[in-house]
Amino acid sequence: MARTAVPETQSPVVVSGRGVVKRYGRTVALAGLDADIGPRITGLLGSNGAGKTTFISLILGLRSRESGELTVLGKDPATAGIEVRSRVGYAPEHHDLPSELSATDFVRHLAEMHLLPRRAAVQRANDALWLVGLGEERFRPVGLMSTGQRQRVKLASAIAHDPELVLLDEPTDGLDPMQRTEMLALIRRIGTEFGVHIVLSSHHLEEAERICDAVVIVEGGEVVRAGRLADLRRGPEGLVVEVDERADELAAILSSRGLEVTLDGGVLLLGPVEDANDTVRDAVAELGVGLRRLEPRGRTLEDVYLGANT
Amino acid sequence: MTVEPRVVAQSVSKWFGTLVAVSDVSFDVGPGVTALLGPNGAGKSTMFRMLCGLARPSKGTVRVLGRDPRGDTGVTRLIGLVPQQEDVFEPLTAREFVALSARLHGLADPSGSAAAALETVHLDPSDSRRLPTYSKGMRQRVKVAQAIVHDPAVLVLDEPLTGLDPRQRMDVVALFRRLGSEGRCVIVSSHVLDEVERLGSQVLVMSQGRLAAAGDFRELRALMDDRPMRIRVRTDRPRELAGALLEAGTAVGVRLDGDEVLELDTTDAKALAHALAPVARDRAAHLYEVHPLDADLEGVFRYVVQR
Amino acid sequence: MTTGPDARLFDLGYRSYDGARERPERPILTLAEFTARRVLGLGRGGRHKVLPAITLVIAFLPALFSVVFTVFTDDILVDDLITYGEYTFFIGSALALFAALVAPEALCPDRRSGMLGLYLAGPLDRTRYLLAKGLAVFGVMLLITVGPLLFMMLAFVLAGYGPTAGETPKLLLRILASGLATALLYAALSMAVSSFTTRRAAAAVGVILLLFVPAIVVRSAIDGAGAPNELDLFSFPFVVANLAYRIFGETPDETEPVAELSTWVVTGGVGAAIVAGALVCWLRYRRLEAFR
Repeated sequence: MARTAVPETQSPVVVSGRGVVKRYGRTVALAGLDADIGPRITGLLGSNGAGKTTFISLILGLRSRESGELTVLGKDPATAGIEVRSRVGYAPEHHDLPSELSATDFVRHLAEMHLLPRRAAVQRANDALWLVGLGEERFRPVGLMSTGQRQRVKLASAIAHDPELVLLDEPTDGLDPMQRTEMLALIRRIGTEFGVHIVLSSHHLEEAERICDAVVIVEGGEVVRAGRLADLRRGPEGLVVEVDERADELAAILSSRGLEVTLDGGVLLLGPVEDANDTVRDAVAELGVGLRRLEPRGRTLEDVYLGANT
Repeated sequence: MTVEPRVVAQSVSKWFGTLVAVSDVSFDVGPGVTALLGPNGAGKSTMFRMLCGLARPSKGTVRVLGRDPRGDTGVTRLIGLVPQQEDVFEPLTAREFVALSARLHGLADPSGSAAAALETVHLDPSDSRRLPTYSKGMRQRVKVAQAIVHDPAVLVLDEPLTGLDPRQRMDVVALFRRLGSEGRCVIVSSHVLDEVERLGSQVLVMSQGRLAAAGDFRELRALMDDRPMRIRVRTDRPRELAGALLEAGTAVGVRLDGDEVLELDTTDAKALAHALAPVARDRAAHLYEVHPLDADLEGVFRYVVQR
Repeated sequence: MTTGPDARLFDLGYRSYDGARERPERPILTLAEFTARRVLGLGRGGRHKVLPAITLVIAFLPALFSVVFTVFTDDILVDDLITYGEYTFFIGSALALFAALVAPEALCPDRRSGMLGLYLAGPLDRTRYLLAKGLAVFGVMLLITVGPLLFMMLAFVLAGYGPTAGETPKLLLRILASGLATALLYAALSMAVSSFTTRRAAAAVGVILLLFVPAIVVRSAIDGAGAPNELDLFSFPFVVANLAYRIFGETPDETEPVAELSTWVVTGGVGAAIVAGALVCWLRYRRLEAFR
């Protein structure tokens, strides 16, 4: 069954939870979590201790839940754990990898442990390491690799066995800005072009904003916000305008032309959006100032997150 | 503060055998927040260790508040530091740990100062659990508390946001901004440039052991005139707009992406900004979006490091 | 792949895998094989082959001497050479050394390096993981519990001193039985000890201690304080060596408390120790926090 790129409109639910409860002794880690994680790339966000890690361990069937339903790729990980885990790839947050093994041996071995026949495992380990940019270093022992390289080895090991779902826990931890951008681009490619569903657990909202199609925000053991990024970010209609100088004069002109203006460093507009663009354009041209930024006003993921957390 | 908080490096080099970690770096950082950036392996951590007095330069000098952080034990009372490698696993409670630091710095009320410092980073001073049981993010905040407990004039923080969740990150970023605006000299490194941008616009960029750039990153961008600025414009008449701007010489290159999106290259961003609205108006083109693509810190960083 | 009339552009990106996949039980064998290889130092630097090699040599040496003497010195009576039954007793130290080497190497590094978490995040659970490791440790131990005896038998057969064609199956069975029991016991006990620490050296020391300290303590209690002979079932190396004697129908020279016990009791004792060791190991792993 060949897999092709997943269109954004496709709706099969990859992970589905209803009223999931998990306790550790008297601590309630998940207090009735409801979530539907869809295709392509989903960001799993939330504060430390909010239940993200617990949720991941339940998805993998590594811990059992007290109550509630949970389906991963159509199966219940509590009863079909072995099967679920054979179809899921996982890159943990920690950097503890066996130091003696070469990258290629490590990735191959894990691929074999995920039911890939030996030859296919050798080949795919090779492919995966090249894909993540470690082709030349693939024979180096993992213990001698830098953090950036280790992150990529983890990613390679998560995808080598061609899983249907990949769970990535803080994949950009320790990476410098350029490595971060590369890693995110790589993840985006894997999630969009190759039909692999990805759940990305991260502390970095801007990362989720950059590459996720949807997010699930967990707080206090429950899902407090979830949905497609485009939907969540829809905010009050309006525009953000940034000019080189004389912003207050511009605000005055626009206000006199019937637009609701709030000045905040840049110039924000509320109000009827049709024709607002043209009104702005003309006013800026008349005033003769430089136009630096003109954007539809939406909420950032940070706004969504903070809103969800209050 | 009698002496203005400054951190000055003069021709600093550091090598380990044949490995050159830092090569002839000089800078002068004053009050406010300055970000020290660079790719992994650029020598940032080594530089930090020298600023904190944890390592000695092989050549050159480091002066914090006019004194040598390595030799002069008195100056360490005025520096707060969060070095990257050392994680705290002492079998103490958070308050005990921070109070210990306060005591070492000679504070009159170590326990009280510790409590205040912990509250600043939103940790509970009365928590009786010991540090090894804390999560990574909590331990990180303890490190920050320990760095600020003695109200230092200079703060040197290497990756202080590691392990923190989004809200904690925002809180700590706000804390550093506040400390910087109070006149302290705060030097921070982080790989998350979006956050660094919120701390301020002063940067030091290291690459390959050397200092590649210093100053306000916005002005740095303007200095890179061999790299055209890229502006993204969404309009219903991309071709007309592009043609007009190219003809006028305000844009030197253009890329069309789909039916509405234009990526314009320009060597004179100011002229382009001035020309956009009038040209669009004259061509009756709607302007839906205008967005600079690489004038942010990430763009600057990439160019500086890739030179 | 994109094709034109005279050109083909190949896509080097990610490829799906549509081929056959192994059965879900396969990872047990994969891991067992992988572990066995690593324990013996195969696929690793020469440094890691030294200890296993030395131990193997020590274990095979008596068999080698035995054969050489028999072949090149015609007037030595076969009875004076080492017998199958006493072999286990003879190489007791090599067995202990091997056990202290193998199980720690098989179990400890995975917990130290986070590899256990990665294994468990795949189509494996703790029981299967331990099964795989147990197979590896047991299999490797078989090399020195069965190996030398088989070697000896084959060599004798080839040199003409061996058992007759009729006797051979029975001898083989005995070799297998004694080898299996010995390997299982040492495997179970060493794995149990290794489940308590992530440091190989500590586990190795622990294995040696578990094998010999109870024996010393129990025997002084029996000799000195007149404790019951049944306690000698805790002298693990001696009990299983004694069982080996009995399997081959021989009686040992030494007078030990275990010799006084009936064969059923001795067999039961060995069996119980095997089960206990395996159980302890399993229970330890069930409680381990492997997911971070």
